[in-house]
Order: sequence, then C-alpha cells, then structure tokens
Amino acid sequence: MLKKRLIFTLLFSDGYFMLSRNFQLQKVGDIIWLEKNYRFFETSKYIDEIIILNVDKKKRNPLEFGEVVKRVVSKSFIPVTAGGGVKCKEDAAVLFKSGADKILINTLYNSSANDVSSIIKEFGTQAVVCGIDYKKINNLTSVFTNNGQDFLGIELEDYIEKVLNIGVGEIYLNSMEKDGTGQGFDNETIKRISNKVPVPVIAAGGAGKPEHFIDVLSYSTNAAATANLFNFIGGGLKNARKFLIENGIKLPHWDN
Amino acid sequence: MIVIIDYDIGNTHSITQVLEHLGVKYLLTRNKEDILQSDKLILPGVGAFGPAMSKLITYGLDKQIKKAAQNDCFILGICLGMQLLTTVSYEDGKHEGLGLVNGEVKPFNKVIKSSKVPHVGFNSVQNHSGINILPKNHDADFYFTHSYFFSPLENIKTAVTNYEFDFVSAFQKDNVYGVQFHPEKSQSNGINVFKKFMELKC
Repeated sequence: MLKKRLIFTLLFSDGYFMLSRNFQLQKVGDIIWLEKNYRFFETSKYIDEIIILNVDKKKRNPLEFGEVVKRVVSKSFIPVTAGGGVKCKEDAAVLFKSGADKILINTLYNSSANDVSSIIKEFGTQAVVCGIDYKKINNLTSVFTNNGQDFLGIELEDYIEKVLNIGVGEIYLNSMEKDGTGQGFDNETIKRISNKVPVPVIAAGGAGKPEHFIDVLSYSTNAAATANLFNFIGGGLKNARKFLIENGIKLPHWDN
Repeated sequence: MIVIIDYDIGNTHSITQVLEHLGVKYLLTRNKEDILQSDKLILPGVGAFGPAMSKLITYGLDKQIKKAAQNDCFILGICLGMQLLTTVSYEDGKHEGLGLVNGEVKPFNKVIKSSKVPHVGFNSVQNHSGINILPKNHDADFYFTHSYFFSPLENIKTAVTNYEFDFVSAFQKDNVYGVQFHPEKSQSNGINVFKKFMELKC
C-alpha cells in the first residue's frame, strides 16, 4: 500500500536558508547553521522527502544552487526535489545532475508551456512537480507566480486544468495566506483539489504542530510539507513522525 | 571494480553517495574497457525511455552492457535502468530495450482505475521469490516514482508491489537484477540492497 509522505521544504536565497511568512522572507542561517542545528543526516531519517527551493528574487544562478543541492543531499538517502527559477532544459539538467530526483517548476508553467513540455519530454512527467501559490481574493482562489508577486487573474481550478494539459507529475499546492502562520493547512481547498485531480498533491503552507499533518493527510492528499525551520528544529520532526504514526497515518517504515 | 554507467541520464550523484557511505570503490564512467573489466555494473535512470535508450546507443553502451551480461557480470538496473534491461517499452511510442529480460514496459493509466499516476512515494515490496539482494519476505518500504511498469514475458524471480494490482517491482534473472524503486532514496532499506549487491560473488 502506498504510504503518505512527510516533507520538509528548505527555502534558499543568496547563501542563506529562509523562513517565510505570507511570502515575506527572513534570513535564518547559512549551510553551516543548517548542518549544526539540523544535522541533516539525522533529521532526514524522520522525513520522507526534502524539497529545496531557490526563492532568491534577484539572481538565480542555477550552478551555485546546484552546489547547495549537492551538499544538502550528500548525507541523506531520501528523495529530493529542487526548484525555483527553472527556465529551460539546461537549468533542469543542472539540478538533476546535482542529486535532485524531481524538479519543481512554478512560473514557467504560465510563461512558457513549450519549455515545460521540452523538460517533460527529456526527463519524464514523473520528475516534474508544479508549484502553485494561491490566495483568496474576493472569494475566488487566485493563482500567483514569480514568488507570489504576479497576480495571474486565473482561478485555481482553471489553472490546474491548464497545468494538467501541459503535463505534470505532482502538484505542490501552497496557500500564501497560511504560509508561515503555523495555524494549520488550508484543508478545505486542499481536500477539494486532491479529490479532483488525477496526480498526487502535496499540501503546503501553515504547518505549525504535528496535529496539522493529521488533518491534511487523512484524506486523498498524498503528502504534506512544512518549511517552518523553527517549529520543527531539533527533535521536532522525529516527534511529529511518531505522533502521526501513533494516530493512524501510514508513513514509510524503516529497519533503523 | 563496480562501474556506474554514466550516460548523462540519471541521478548518479545519489548512487555514488550511497557507495561512498558503504566505503565501496567505484568508477562512474562509460569507458568500454572499464565496463568489460568490471564484475558489477549499475545502470541508473531517471526520465523517459526513448531518450535514454538513444543515449545508450549513441555511446555504444548497449553493446557493452549485453556483452557484460554474457560474461556473468552482475548488473543492477535502477528505475528507468531496470526498464531499459527489458525487451520493449510503450512510453511515448514503441521503443526497443536491451532485451536482457523478456517483457514489456507499459503505462499504469491503461490498467489502474482510480489511483493517481505517477505512482509516487513509498510502497512495500513483497519478495516472495526470495531475490537475494532484497529483504527476506518482509513488507519493506522503498521509494517509487514512475508512470510505467514492467510486465515479464518469461519465468524469472520477481518481487511485487501493490498499487491497485500487484506489479513487478523487482526481478532477478541469473546475474541480472532490476529494481523499479530507488534504493538510493529508500533510507536504510535501500542502503542494504546496495550492500547485498556489493556482496554478491561470481
């Protein structure tokens, strides 16, 4: 039976890992800080996937980011998805060569379907995750791209249909309003979308405590991600995992 | 010497990380002599069958791998690498594989009704045939990410995984092994698969 996944999302910008709240970024620490406070090899034993996103609004150097990806994954033996600023097949290739199993593409799905298609043709649909950031505006769930800066004026479900037509492996669905608040996921929207789409959905935005994961993983949502460095530091992820398993969520089992 | 075949496709970095963790010496190469002299080959693979097969042929690796198999070299195909070892794939058309194991690679969405495609995440592998590099009999969890599955057309050792139906998630035919999952992404379960592969003796 397919298990659910507990995912950690690392937000990276210009040398530092970041904390995000409603898409405002705050510097937390560099890779040394991460290794000291997170000891990634240890922490990665309690999660099922790592997502690393380059959220740098100014420069997006794929080679430099690739080196960060390489370093973060060098001691963890779990799937890694990398993304942020992927504009072409070459950007994607750098990330795969650095150790990424999947890449996450957000803005490109809207700005150039052809480039996304050529990436899919080369690397396979299952290797491409579409990141979608959304926010409720006047009662409509509206999609934003470009780090949450560009309002597309497209409703979430219509946008997802467009994405499905281009081709996609999974959808990373991120609530901009819940982002960083620690008050739980946008269960209503995520449940609605998960039940509707034929591809796996990863819930993102709002995780603050282990209970939040139970709510969101109790139905067809395939995986839940948190980017909250502070809430899950130290033994946080290990405890969350134990709590989820004790409460009936089927997560992968290791002979450790 | 263990050779990881480098043909510009696949997450070779993660595989090399596991081997380094195990303290195993390896070569990441497509050099013909190195391949012919090795006693263990790993064929990684991420992406689409057609482009991957084209790359193997361009580098002359299809011939080398077939020769190595005949020389009783142990071969481990991972994910797309497993699929490439077989006869034919129907991903985006019809593509001939290396033909070391007789069978077809087919899309999930023609067979399963209500589950999502691709099959992504951790699922358990039931090793009923006793394939020696996999855990004995347990329902051990491994990481999968694929939209196509292998259906054998000859009698070989297989392990299965359930995703609406039981599909072949690993096989062994003499010295040729294939795993649909990613052992390099499957925590300690996966590391043990590599360890057992390394310990195989001719």
